[in-house]
Amino acid sequence: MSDADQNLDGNGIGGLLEEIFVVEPTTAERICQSCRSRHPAGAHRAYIAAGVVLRCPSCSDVAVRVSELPGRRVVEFRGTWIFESSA
Amino acid sequence: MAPVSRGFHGRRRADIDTTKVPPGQYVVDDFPVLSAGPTPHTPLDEWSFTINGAVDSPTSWSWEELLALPSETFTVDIHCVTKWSKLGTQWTGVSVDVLLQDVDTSAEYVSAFCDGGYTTNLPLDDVTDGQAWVAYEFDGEPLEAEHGGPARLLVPHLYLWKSAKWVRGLTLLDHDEPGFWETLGYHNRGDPWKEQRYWSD
Amino acid sequence: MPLTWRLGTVVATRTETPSAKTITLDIPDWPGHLPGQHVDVRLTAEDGYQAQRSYSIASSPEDDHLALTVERLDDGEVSVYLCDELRADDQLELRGPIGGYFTWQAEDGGPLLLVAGGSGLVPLAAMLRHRAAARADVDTRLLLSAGRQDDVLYRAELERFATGGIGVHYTLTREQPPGWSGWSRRVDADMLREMGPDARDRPRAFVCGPTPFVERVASLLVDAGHEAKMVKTERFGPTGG
Repeated sequence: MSDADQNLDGNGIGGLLEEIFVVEPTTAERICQSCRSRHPAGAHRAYIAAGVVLRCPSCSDVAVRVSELPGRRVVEFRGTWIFESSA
Repeated sequence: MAPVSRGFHGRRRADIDTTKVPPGQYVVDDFPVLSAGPTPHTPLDEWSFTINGAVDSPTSWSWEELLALPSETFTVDIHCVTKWSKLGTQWTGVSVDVLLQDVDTSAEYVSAFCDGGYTTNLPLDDVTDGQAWVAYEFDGEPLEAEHGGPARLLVPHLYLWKSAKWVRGLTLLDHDEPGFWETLGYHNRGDPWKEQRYWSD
Repeated sequence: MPLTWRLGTVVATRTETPSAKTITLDIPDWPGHLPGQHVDVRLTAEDGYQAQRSYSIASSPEDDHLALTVERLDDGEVSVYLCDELRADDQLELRGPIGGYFTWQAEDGGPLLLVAGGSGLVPLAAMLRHRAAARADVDTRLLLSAGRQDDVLYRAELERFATGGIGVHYTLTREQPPGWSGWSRRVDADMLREMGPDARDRPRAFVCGPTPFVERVASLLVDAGHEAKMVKTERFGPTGG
């Protein structure tokens, strides 16, 4: 693995997020549980290690954690998420 | 299996002694940087290492005090759960045995805690008897921040997510307390030779 | 619509610069895309080993084929394969389009302020190409930061855009050709102020490139009065795409 896929953002991991959310996720907004700031998923900072961690761009607290294991995906969400419907 | 990409071979693997490579791993020559969050930058005059939890009273060392402890320079292989292994890495650090020398405890587990909030859990037996260090040099140079500097836990006989970067201490516990990745599907112990990557392994 | 892995066929490859290639693909049942979106590309070796990376779509939605421009990184497992090995008639596995956050369509309006670091130009070029195809007349300004003139992607096309009324600005930070009259320093507040538009005009800003570049430029724009939500960013990682 090269370093080219480090320090991405929620937009860059959009493919993974879309598999979880099923709807286009990068425009979904989140209100942070720690600092109460509001940002689209696409603007969050993504870190790729043993799993993927998405963090608040204002305070760096954890927004989403994802582990991709054989045959399953374990996901944790924090904060309040807002999904606009297309209707 | 997904369709094969004509002519793609992946990262070139060096000629290696396969007995040194745990199952499912491949050897790399570089040192990939994988972090669960931004690199912290604690000034050394604010840094300390603490042992707390199931002890009579917590013990702390400042940066200077840590560096004054007996240290070792040693060479080990490291194995990341994302499947890369790096052989023959050289480190300098203080053995956890030295840090626990004067600590009286009936604890059976430890939880390593770090700048940035990362945690990982280990049986106490896996960080004693010369199996673990608080390492502050890599390849003869001060450990770079992106690789966990100023100091990281190093437990080379387990997967590298147990070698917590930016470690600030160990909490001794009488119960196992799953850490950052262990609460998200990763194995509580993480022995690469038994391929203990995930919960059900 | 669920994202699935699809197989595209390479129609052609074109050298853009000594370190970048454009790959044009034919993808059956491609659903179309918005300028700014990207695809995930996945390579599989015969022993099952896989590597996956994201690449911005360079083509506009109006084009017949999908185009990706790949910057070749010396230690890049995937980019080296795509630039050195992949050829016409090969198949490439990909999924997309991905990313609704970093997109612009003509109907979104302007003014449009685009700032690119190196290969960060790729998704912004898709926006410019779409703007041309849609004959959208919005006030559009582009600032491209590159090391040398040889690193500049789509040079001739950018010149045509400039002639056609888009404000195209360059800063070459490592080496400049003789007689260079453009900028030659890192993007700073003065440069952004000079190229405009002013924050009062509420431009839609898109910043793309290496992570440190993007974070610095986004901060400069916010400091200059642009509302944070009007500044969209796409980080490529420490070195590039």
